[in-house]
Amino acid sequence: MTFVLRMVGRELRASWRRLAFFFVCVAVGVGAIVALRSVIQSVGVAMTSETRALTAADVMIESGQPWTEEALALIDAAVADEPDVARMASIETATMARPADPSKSVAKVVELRGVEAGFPYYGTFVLQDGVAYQHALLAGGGALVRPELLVQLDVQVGDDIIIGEGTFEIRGVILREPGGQLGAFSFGPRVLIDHADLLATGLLGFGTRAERQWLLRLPEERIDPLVEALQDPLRDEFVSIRSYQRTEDRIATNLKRAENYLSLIGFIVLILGGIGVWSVTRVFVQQRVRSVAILKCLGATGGQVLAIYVTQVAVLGVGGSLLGVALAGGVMAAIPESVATQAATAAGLADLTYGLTVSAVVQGLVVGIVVSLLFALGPLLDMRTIKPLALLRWGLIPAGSRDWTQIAVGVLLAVGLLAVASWQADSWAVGLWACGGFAVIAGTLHLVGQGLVRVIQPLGAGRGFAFRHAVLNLARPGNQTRVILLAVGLGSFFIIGIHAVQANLVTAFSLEIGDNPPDMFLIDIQRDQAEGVGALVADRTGRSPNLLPVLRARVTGVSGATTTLDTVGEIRRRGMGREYTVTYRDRLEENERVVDGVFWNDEPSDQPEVSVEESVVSRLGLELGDTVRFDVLGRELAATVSSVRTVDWDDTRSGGFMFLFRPGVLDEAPHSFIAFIQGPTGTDARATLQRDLVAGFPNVSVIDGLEVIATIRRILDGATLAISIVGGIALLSGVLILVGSVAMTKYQRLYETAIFRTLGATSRTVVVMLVVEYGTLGLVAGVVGSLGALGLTWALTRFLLEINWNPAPWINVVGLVATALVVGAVGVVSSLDVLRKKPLGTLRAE
Amino acid sequence: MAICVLLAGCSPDPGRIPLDRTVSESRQAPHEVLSSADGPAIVALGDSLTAGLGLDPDQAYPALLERQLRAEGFTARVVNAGVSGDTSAAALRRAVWAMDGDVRIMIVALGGNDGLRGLPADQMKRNLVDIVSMAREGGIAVLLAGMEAPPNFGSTYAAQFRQVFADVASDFDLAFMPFLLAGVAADPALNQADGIHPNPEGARIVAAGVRAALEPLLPALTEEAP
Amino acid sequence: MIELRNVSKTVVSGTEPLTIVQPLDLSVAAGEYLAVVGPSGSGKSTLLGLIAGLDLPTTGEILIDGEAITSLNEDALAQLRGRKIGFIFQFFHLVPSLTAFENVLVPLEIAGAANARDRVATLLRDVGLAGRAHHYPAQLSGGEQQRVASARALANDPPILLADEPTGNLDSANGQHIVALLRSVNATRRTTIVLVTHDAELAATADVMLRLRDGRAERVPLVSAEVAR
Repeated sequence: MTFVLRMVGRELRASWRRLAFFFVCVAVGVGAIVALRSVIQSVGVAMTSETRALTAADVMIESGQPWTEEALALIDAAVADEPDVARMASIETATMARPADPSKSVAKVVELRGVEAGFPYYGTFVLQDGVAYQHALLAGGGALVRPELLVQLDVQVGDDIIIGEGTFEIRGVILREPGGQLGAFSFGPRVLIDHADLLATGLLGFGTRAERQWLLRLPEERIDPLVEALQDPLRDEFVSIRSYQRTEDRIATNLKRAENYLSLIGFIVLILGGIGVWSVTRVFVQQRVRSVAILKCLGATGGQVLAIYVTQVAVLGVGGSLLGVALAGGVMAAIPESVATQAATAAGLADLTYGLTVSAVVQGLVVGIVVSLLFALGPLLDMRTIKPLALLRWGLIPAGSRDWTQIAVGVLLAVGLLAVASWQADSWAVGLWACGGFAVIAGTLHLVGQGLVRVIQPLGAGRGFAFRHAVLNLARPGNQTRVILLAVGLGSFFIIGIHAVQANLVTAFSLEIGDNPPDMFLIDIQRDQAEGVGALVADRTGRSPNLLPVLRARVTGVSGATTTLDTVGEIRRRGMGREYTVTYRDRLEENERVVDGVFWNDEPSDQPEVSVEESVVSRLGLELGDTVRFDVLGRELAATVSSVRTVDWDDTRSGGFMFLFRPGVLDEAPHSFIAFIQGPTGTDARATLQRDLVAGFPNVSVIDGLEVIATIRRILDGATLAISIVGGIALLSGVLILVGSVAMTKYQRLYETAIFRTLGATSRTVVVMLVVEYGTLGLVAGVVGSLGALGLTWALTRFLLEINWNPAPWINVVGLVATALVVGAVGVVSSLDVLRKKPLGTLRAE
Repeated sequence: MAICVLLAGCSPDPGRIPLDRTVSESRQAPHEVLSSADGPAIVALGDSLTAGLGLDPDQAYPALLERQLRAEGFTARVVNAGVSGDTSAAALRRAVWAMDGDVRIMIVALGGNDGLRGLPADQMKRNLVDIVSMAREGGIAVLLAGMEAPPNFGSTYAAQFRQVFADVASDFDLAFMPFLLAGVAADPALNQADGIHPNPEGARIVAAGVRAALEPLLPALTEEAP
Repeated sequence: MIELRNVSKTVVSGTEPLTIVQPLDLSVAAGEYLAVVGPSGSGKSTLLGLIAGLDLPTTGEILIDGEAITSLNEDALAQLRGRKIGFIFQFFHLVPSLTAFENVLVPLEIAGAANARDRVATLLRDVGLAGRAHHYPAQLSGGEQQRVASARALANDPPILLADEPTGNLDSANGQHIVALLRSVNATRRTTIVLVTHDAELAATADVMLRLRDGRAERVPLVSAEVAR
């Protein structure tokens, strides 16, 4: 054993330079894993608290009706079973507020909420002038109000307002509010008062529209069981219950997507590091053939030799992993100074601190050592088949046939990879998919390598010395064609793949909430008001609003080539019985695409024509040219189906319509307009616009979505930021490892390059040779890798992330070209020192 | 009443953002299409309570009313001009469209969405006055059905709101039904799960109430077309 | 000491089987110094590889001290080599990553010998390289490398020494040095030596000569050996 350990020491001393890259691979891989795990966890914590702040509680139970005895009993019983639970009541209702000053005779709709002491369980209030929120501000007839209300009622902090039977003193202004649930779009600004005061306003009489709520706080692991236990019984009482995670399905879905993506990157970085480890170990083993033969000749057993090198790998793995942790620490420390602070601050993720987490460090170390060993073991096992006889004959070392040990190691590698992948991605399915993709691409690359060798062999005759020898190099026995193809192909596959997935994911996020999403919604704009509303909005926001005409219509029949539906009952049986909101326009929106037929031109027509959404075609059995009968406000309209559209429902910018009519027929039918606008940014400007809109057009309701949009944006920005940082880390480490893997192959080049030089080849000849050889390998690997990446992106977006697959061909093309260039360049550059050195030195050293 | 239909706020899951498909979503059941072509007609100008949101078309009160009138021997048809989400302002803009044809009687059943949104009562009054005036000019008899504002807007608003209908009815000397949902509102047994829209049983009570309030106007149906 | 019974070696080259060593019986007594000579390709090195257990014969068996090494597995063979056989190669075959001192130390460490470092110092002094102990092979001349290699071969004081063209890559002065070393080892320690060479002059220093031609062996006693003794 001492012999083994001493040899490890001597070997490391002698070959650390060549093994430095092994070290770097492990360090980069581990560094990436630790850094991204830390980012995931930090962002996860921040976003969890952000989502919790949306409900201000872990669980919310809500009822539109007064609590029934049964409902209360159910809740009491469930809560009594929880050892560590807190709950409080809250009520939300729309009501009227007016100034107590009788000279001001305006009354405005407000969204009133009554809360108890202790609210909120999660999240923090931001009040104007840095006032800290405390329940004392509400107790005894106090109210906190949104700034819009001050403008609308012409009141100030300190003034009294009247709500119901109660008079309240305005004691503060709410700038940001926890528990302002997503989707709870309100018709008026928030007014917050004490729960007991609200009960005393007399507003909660018979028939009141109000949401009665229980807010619960309980340990994370108890949330789901409680929700599940109460869901069904409460539904019978018309009471809803949901956990903070379910507050906004789409936000939750997006967070899950981000998390899945990030976990996947962890696995991919791991594989890239593994490829680097494999590549460097393989080269290393080849260089050690003679030493191993000598050791065996001197009486060392196969086990001792293997122990020497496995221990070496383990030492490097541990060292590299530690360096990786240090690297990650450095990167994480650097982040706040650059992007993250600004982005995180802008995103309002105040709780976001980037730092190494203990679990990330442990994960990184374990993964680093396991992966070093797994990937190094294959090449190292070849050492067992090295025969000392090689010392007597300068022949080839006979390739060892596959034995049981090697098969066992192969199985171990596969199982180990699958386990690590599943662990990192937190899902066996993802692990299987990723490993499957890995295997398929590896197999493809192997076959392509064989094919390439066969195809180019005939080219080995003629076309100049350099070209011929490049071809011979690729095709000669013991060539590295397949090895480089495998390393580079897999590398580019993963790098291009994650980049494309990232692009898809970020697109999905920005569609979810674009750069300038509408944050104010105007509804019920009448035709005669359209112009006035448009002018007012344009004046205040600098942009004319896009007014969408909306009508209500029902399908009453179909007269088609293959389908005839005459009664409403038949329509209903096909799931099309409801009332649809329809519109008319002469163009397609960005989220629409015609998949069949021809969309009309911009000429209005008095022949009714309709463009239907794709799903309608199958449901109603329609064909182009069929006639669909509609009931529009009591009148029948028979429209010809002239085109079929797909609508990207996730793209929220322009709305979506199942039925879109050609202008000309519906224009004269009575209809109103809705508008999604981007309101002014200043609080006062917004309040004034709302006030003036309502004053000029009393029936028009303005719904302010600013805060909701801002919250969604904060969360999605956080996720996007994390994805970008992690994607960047992965890209960088991937390229590093790839470059290193290729550079490592130069050691196999040294000897023959030296011989060529001795025989009189110029540097130019050698460079051309290297360019052709490595360039070809890079190109072929790039093609396979980028095609594979296309498949990977498709599979991941579809099955793992469940978003629309938008192929980004330029990523694949750029990736392909970059791969060829990088591999060619690295092949040449890494061999430059050979060209500079005297050939004899190289020959002697070998 | 389904203002929220536009915003999907009525769906069982209120936590949705009213951005896209929700615009085209409603849970409205279809109703019979009644051609405005020939014969005397009664038009019910209203919102989702008239349209029969959540009900089969033949369960909404206009259809029930027509059946009742037929059973009584009247040949008039009842045109459902209820549009979910319509406020009095919106209904005013389409009143002309709804009055097309041989309309003898118009049931004006509006205000629900005005009330749910707390829209100013005086504005609603102006809209109702305009609608009634137009009907009068067209020689159409009007039944005005009143509505209550939900109590959460406070007693002041509720009183103003209630007064609007009483005032318009007396100013124009209209057939008047003070509360369309009298005996139905806030009774879980008569309403759908949303607590706003009547279920089939509730709709029958509404139809009976409307039928009773319509009594003084029925002679208009048997007059010769002008 | 070394006994070959009906040993032959056939390899498949392309599709043709090629017999490198025809069936051969050979016995080398303890303390005997045998030179194997023959032209290139006559199977000399192959025979040496067979004796060392580096290669398997196609037929026959090989016994070392009465033990049939043909039935041992690789690890047992390695241990046997460590105990009983020292090697000197034409191309020296020092481990390039180890110093001269460490190259000599390795077999002692493998065998787990006591006082290994002292022994290495003695060995290196004996071959006149005490001052170059901490140089790497690349820093040594060919003659020096071969002297380190011979010191390594003798490290465990093996009863058998196998030498494969030990002077083939050396100038004549260095060659003489190695020849003298072999003779002295054979004389003073009674080490059995099998020397493979095509150099008649070198072969003449042995007790017995085995001439290989077309894979056939012919044992030729050497008078000069008697004289030298």
